[in-house]
Amino acid sequence: MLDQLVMFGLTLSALYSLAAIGFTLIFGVGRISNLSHGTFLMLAGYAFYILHQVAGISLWLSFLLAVLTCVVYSVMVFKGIVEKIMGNPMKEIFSTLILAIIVEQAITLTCGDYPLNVYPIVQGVSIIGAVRISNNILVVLGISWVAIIALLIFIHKSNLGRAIRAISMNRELAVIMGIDTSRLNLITWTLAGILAGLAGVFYSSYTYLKPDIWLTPLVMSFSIVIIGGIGSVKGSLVAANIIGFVESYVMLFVNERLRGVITLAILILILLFRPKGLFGEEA
Amino acid sequence: MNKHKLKNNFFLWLLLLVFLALSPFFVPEGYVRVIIMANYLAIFSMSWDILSGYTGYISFGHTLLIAVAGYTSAILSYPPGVWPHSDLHLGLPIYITIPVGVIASILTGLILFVPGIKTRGPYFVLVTLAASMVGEGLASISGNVGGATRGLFGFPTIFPGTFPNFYLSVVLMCSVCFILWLVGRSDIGRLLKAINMDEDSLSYLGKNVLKLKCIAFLLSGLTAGIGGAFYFHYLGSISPHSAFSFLLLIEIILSAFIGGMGTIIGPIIGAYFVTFTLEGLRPLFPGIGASSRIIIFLVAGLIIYLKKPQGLYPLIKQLLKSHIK
Repeated sequence: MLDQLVMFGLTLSALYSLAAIGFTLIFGVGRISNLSHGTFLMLAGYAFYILHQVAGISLWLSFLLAVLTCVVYSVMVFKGIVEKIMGNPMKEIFSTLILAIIVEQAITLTCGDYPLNVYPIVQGVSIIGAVRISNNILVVLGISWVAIIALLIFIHKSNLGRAIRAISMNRELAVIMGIDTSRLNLITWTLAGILAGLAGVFYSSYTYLKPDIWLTPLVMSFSIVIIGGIGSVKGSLVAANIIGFVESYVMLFVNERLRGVITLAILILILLFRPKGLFGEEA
Repeated sequence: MNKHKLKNNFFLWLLLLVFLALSPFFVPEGYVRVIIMANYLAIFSMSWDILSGYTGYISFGHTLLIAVAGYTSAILSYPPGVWPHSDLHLGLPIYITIPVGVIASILTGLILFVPGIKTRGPYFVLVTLAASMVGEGLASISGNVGGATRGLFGFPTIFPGTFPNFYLSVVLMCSVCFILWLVGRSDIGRLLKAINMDEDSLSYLGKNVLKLKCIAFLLSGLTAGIGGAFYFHYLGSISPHSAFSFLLLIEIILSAFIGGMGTIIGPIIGAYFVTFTLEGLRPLFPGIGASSRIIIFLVAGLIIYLKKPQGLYPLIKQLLKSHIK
């Protein structure tokens, strides 16, 4: 059981990290709560399903196109709606939420509201030591962590990354220092699209596709970002692992149907006692 | 002058009310049912308005308040010995279970108030959303007590038939509206609106912000509870899917937006608008077209919200003013 806990925990944490980092970048740079973030993942999953399993396009090309779809969608949401209403949190929250439900209904209309099974990206099982792990999970873990590490290097080493961190820490000062916020916003939405695209394809191959699966990744990303401290990529990584392992533990040892409930209850408790998150607000 | 205006307004409202009360005599029964739904949606939306429209604390947990009242009353009034069987199904009369349901909803409102003490903005949105999802999760694993994912059906209804239920919904809506309207135009209402503008300044002025917020949560829980308990007894069934429906939440919030936030009267206009738009689109997209009419409705709602954030009520008021003059 312990090996299963580690395996589920690592996979879930990696998926949540991918989803949450995009969310935290958007929140940190633009102070935007993007409630359509969950549909980014879902859309990538459906795009992958349609391209690969319906249209029969080759696996890695479908994968690439699915991520690209997600990026295009993300940029469209930013340019089409969010950029026009920036600075009004209530409008941002509601517009992106209504958008999410419009996407949900559009997918119900085109693909039906029954669950669809996505093939694993790679077949087969590997044996590491005494543990059997499906190759799919190994690939998911590998690509996720490569993406996360690449992002960390980008955020900490490049000038753009420094600008992103600067603006999350102190918005006014960063603007005074001559950082172009609208360009940075576009870049963060693109990055968020890439990460959410990866997470979406993996998440759907790990579970299944359904028009309402956007809500769980959204609430988990939101929770992770708040627990980890808004705008903090490292905090999000820690929080994603906490939530991923707690959820896997509940799923394996307590009751599978309680997994979401207990995670959310813990989140509510953390927010009650530490409203600024476990690690405070820093980049 | 002011008295004259008030008198004018009073007659206008009386006229509308008489029109509404007589409507079952000249509209088909199907539409009467639609009006009943609109009335309940109006109650929910007004209840959301007194909390979120006034104070700016945007609650995504409103379906939780409604569901708690509905579930409590449904479980307590559920006849014992009928499948699904549970020892908690006491078969109590509904004149006891509905007040208990309302009290449960008020208590839930107070629980939501606890995060509202410390958190604001997106944080509060998240906590209320998470609380509602926890509620849905608990309802779907409630076993025989709450009927799990299938829910409960066949618990007692208040009145049989459409007409008595119509008048019940009108009476409920009018009383909720009257109470909240009185609160809204009192000093408390003005102070609640001040919380939305600048909470800190208000507390520097020596106002007890905590107490004010508590009042808003209490009133919201009370009215959502009244609406929720009667609504589910009217439907005669409750399930996690129907009680915690995201679409219901969106309808509640959009009604307040379209009608005009922080006005109490606005959400009624919004609720009628929302219900009749959704119904009006039904013949155009029959059968599996449920999604397409929801999409059209949401796109329209989004555009109205973005273009006219103040809502319809202030616009109508302005229109009336210029016509009467």
